[in-house]
Amino acid sequence: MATSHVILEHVTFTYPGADKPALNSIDLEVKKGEFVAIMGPTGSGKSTLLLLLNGSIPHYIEGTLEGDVIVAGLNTKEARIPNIAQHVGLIFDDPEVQLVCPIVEEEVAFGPANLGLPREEIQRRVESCLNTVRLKGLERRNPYTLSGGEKQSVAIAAVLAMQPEILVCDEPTSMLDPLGEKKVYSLIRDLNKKYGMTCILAGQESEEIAEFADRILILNHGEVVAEGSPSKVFEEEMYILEKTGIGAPQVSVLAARMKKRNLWKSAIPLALEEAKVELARILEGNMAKQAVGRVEGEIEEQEMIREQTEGKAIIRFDDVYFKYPEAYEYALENINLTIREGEFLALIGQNGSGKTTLSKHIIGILKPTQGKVFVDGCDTLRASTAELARTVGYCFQNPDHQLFSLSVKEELSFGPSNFSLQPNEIERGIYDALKIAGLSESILDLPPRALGKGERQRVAFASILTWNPKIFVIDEPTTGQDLKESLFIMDTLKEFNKRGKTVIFISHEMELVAQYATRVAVMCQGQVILNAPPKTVFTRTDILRESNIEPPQVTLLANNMGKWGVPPGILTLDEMEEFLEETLEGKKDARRV
Amino acid sequence: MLAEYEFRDTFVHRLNPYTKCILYGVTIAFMIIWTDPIYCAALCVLPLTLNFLARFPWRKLVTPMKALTPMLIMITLFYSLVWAVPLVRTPQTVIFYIFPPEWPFPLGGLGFRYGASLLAIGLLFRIIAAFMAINGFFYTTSTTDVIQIMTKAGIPYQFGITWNMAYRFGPTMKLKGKEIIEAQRARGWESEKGSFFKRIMAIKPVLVPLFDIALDMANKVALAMEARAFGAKKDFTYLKAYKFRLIDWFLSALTIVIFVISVYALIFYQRGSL
Repeated sequence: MATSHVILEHVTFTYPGADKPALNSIDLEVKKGEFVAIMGPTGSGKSTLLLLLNGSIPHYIEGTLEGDVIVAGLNTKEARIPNIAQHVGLIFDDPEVQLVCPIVEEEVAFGPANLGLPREEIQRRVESCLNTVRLKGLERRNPYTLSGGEKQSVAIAAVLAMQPEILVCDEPTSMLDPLGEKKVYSLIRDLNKKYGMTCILAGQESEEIAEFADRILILNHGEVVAEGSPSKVFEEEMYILEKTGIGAPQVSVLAARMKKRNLWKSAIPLALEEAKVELARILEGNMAKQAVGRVEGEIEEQEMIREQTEGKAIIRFDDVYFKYPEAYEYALENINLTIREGEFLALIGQNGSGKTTLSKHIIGILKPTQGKVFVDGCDTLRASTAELARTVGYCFQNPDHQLFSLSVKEELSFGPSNFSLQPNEIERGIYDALKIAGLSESILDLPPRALGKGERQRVAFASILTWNPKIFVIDEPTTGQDLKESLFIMDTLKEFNKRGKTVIFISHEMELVAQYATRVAVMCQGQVILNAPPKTVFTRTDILRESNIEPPQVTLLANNMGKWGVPPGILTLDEMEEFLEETLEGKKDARRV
Repeated sequence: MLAEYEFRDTFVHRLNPYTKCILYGVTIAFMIIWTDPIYCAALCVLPLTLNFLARFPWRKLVTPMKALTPMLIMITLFYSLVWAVPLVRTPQTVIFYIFPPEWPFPLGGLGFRYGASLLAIGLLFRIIAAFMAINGFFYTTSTTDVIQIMTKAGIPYQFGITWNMAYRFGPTMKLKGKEIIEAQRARGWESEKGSFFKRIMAIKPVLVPLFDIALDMANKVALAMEARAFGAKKDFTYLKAYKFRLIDWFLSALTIVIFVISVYALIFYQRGSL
């Protein structure tokens, strides 16, 4: 029988000044070599639980701790963090704050060097860890010049060099693009499966978690509300997942919905391949020919819809090139893009592809090196950012970069005051924005920085709505948010769009892009390589692969099931469900005849 | 402002950190003691050659040099105009007056003086030499090596790592500051408008988030370092053990000898001073 590596016994932890505990009576046992995933909405206590495992709580972070945390035989109340660190490696979400040395090999050596190990031993560990995380050849590089995924791999190598038996990861991919996410997950999986390392990971990426984890723990308001194997959680606890706003793999949700209608007989699939097999069995005999005709028809229809809704060109990029000072290469090259009034455009592409650089041109934060950008008829070269901001509401990814006031009300009035609006207009703007952003009036007197992450994001979002701009640009609005909050933000943007506003959003979350955008611009190495409705974009897997983008799971499923009559380019679960319902009911009718 | 370390397989990178410390350090020492513009101009050759051999990315100096230029111009003008201390042996002949001597004090007699102008030009070269030397040193020497030098000089390791953190997170904070300014500008904020007092007060939307981010980041970095056993033992093992090779002995000895001769020449023959 495998021994317990981590034991939490009736653990309750309360932060100073908090009225209720962040974790409440948690009991957990993790066996050697097990992969446990912790899922939960923002503020559910995931990070607090992980910080208990390396002794950061109670030694570094103050609060009241009840119960015991035993890790690799050490009681974390008694052992010092450096001693626990030799057994538990902790990876944070932001790779930037974990890297302190100027070159990769020194970064990896930092931990063992702190332990005063002999130089030869450190060198051996550095070499071995860099091999494990597949960073051989980058030893002498400056870690800050690496990609997000590579930086996080350096951070992992740095904790591996301490030779811990347990790897604890706190949302290790939340700040990475899809490519980085894939790299880090495959690395953690290898550490667990190949090297037998015990892994405890908090994350929102249900598809990866379903594939790799042995056990899932669902936390909500500091309590364990569900626990079990991925198949158990994604099959039996779907109601809890929905209630707490936690995403499940699209194929699992689809199967669960079909099961309710008695159309899915076997177990709930966790991965795409499993779903393909079962769906193929269900759809057996369906005509492929019909599907082809249907796809072409649908894509044409989609193109027509776009033609019909085309309005006034509100943003125009004319042969735009942009180069950052001191850079050798162009960050934007040959950009010719027209965005029409009332469009809901998604900008996608891997990190460094130029999405944010392009969006900053719309508000004049960056000015083209060559070419012109026109916003509502105004040449951005001739207008200041403050002038353009009257027309363009730009919401940055991190709300903490803008919140500074002593009260939410003051924060919300900051923008309209800068535009010298009348007090009654400011007041009206504040209450309208609060309503749209789903915020209560009771928070108006509270300091914005004291609010939770989700609420801070909403305040930042509301602070842009207050002067009612025509265009709304939002940079990765859902990064680090749970599914419930992400859907809320996207629904709000949709509402805003319905009122005739133009919305441009940058995102790495393809499910949301597929669900909300009316047009998608794919960027790669500073160029727009594809600019079409989502249905067209997500069937061009050749181009998407070039940009390291993977379509949503349900679209991938549809794209792979053409042989069984499923049209490619299905974007959402609802669409897929509708198609299957129609097809299968039609099939039933035909059999009856 | 400072160049970041980059690994390159060059002659300068391969030198022992102590040798680099002596080579670049002597440049700074000369910068302090020499005032003659010809000597100061010649002084620029040493860091220039070293940086050239180290394949220094000159493009990275463009932005800091742009920022430095107004200050250099101001210093040159200021020195040329007002420096009239008899410390300078060169005649204080007035090249031309900006305000005639008969004008009342302090403007009366203000003009460009020969000696002061030479001193100003020398100072310009001294600043450029020091700027190149400091950037060259940090470009070719890893901060861990600098800490190693510091600890061997008796400075506590914790002090070295604190300095390393400041050096490491300086550019990050600069970037964060830029992002905050952009975020506030996107809400119509303009810091350039209004009276002086208003402009000072207008910095609040940038300073508050910046302090908050700095504190948050410091907290997370400390947590990450603790998680990697920082401070577990008194001794820290450095990954590299540097040896003093023949070339290091040669260059260090040569530099020190040249420096000693120069100091002697300066004291007894006033070579290098105005």
